[in-house]
Amino acid sequence: MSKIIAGKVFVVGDDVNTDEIIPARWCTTTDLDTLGPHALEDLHPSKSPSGLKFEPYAYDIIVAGENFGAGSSREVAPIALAKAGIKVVIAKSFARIFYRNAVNTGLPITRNYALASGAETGQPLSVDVQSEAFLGTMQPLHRAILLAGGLTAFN
Amino acid sequence: MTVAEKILAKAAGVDYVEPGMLVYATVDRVITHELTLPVAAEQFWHGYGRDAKPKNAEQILFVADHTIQIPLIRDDWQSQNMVEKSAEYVKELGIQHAFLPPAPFTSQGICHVLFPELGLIQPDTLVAVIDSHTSTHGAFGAFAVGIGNTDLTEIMASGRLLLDVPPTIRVNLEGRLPEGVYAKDVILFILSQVGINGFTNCVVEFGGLALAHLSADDRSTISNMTVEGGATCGIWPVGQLRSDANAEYKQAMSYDLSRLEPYVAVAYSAANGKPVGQIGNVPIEIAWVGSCTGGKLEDVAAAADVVRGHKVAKGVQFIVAPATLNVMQEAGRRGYLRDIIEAGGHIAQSACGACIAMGPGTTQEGQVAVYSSNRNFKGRSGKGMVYLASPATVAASALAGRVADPREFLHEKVEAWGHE
Repeated sequence: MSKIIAGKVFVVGDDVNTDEIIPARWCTTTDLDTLGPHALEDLHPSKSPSGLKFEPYAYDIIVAGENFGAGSSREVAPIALAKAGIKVVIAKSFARIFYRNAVNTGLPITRNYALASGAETGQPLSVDVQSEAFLGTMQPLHRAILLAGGLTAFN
Repeated sequence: MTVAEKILAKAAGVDYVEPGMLVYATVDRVITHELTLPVAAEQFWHGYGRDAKPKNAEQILFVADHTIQIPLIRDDWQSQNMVEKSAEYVKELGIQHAFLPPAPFTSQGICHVLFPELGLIQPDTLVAVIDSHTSTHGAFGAFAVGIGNTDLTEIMASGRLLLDVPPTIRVNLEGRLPEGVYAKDVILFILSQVGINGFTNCVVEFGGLALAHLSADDRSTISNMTVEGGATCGIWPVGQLRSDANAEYKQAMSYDLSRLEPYVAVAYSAANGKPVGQIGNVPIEIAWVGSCTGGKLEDVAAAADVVRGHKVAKGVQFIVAPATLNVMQEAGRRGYLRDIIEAGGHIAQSACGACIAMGPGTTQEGQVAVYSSNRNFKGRSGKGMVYLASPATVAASALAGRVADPREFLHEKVEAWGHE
């Protein structure tokens, strides 16, 4: 199996939390399409090594450091990223609930940071989200859920 | 097996589990609130048909708690829309344990305090909540795990939750807390040692001789904030529910509470804790006591003890939001609310409030605040900076107009009694 995703990278540092990914003030809605424009709106400037602010719809792949998605359980965090045009997240590590929510909602994520090593904000990157390299860090069942497109589709 | 492993094995209907195994575990309690139920219900009906009913409606608890104070700070009609939708959906889903607002923009309390208080969280059960501070319920011997909307959708469909059995880290607490030092200081200290990623994907199991001196509220505070280190749950042994002598731990650590000082976590991380004496001169404009971490009866009592007979400093907003209506009523009966008001404080509705920038005490650009809550990420509680501390330290800071040591005020009182 193979599914190549190619696009522009946005690089962030360690411990990017869900309050930065989607501030709670935008979460009083069931219309999830409204979340995209606010993704990463509150990212602390020190966590963007390029010094650039994240722009929704301008990037395709997030490359992150340790503990991406720390903090709250809001499932709208991976959803907001997806709505903002993000198709893949590559990180050194993820916070537990974010990881779970991303798999459950079918957003491809990987802990194989080598796939993005040296990547810089604005550069192009291409990853195969169905390759062994991408999925290899994942438990078999999580992998199956992700490949199905999320937990509801899997069940 | 550890306490967590025993609960998960039972919930999965197997004799033995170990870290790394995946289990389909039957959930005993599910808690949801107005920011999540409407999304999850619509997703459930989308996936399973508009007439679908949850398999386990009697196990689902609902309370509106997150958005209740919003109209006090901004015009956001959508938040009320979420509450109204929730009220409609709980009926359609057949959720009987729905703690709906007594009137618009009111609440019966914050879920992590309300449901344990009502006896709806029991030891040796599996609890799943769409909220990260679910780790709280480990204080009552439950294996409690924070989930997302899709997980809730699937629990409604099957009654079960897919879980990785996490490894357990053992934290032994020894010694007795000195006067003026509280459970909140314990967890801020521990987080300063392990960091914001120190417990990720692990259960924290508490042990040691200090347990005998820590109340249910104390345990709740400590478990609540284990998630700030990334923990799945912060669990305490209850009754016969204990880890086996040969249980395996990923790591073990031990802390002596008898020499602990009040701790304060500097913005923007709960793991940025330092002894209050090392904080320096930090003037504040807002002092807020509230949230699932710092709004329980003993938290309100600690704040009242500090401010009793004193006045709040000029230019400081001191706000106390008891975590539930029951806490509000009991704090009123015991005179705490009167003490707080006579000192110059304000009482706010039971709700998540300022902690998620949804109530009075939310910071404006340039403002510095000290909260008894759990999280001080940039932007979480408005545009200002939030320091995290115990309710007593928050109250002392309200009196001093700067981040202050509660012992300054408690000692004065001890001396005054000594003269009588």
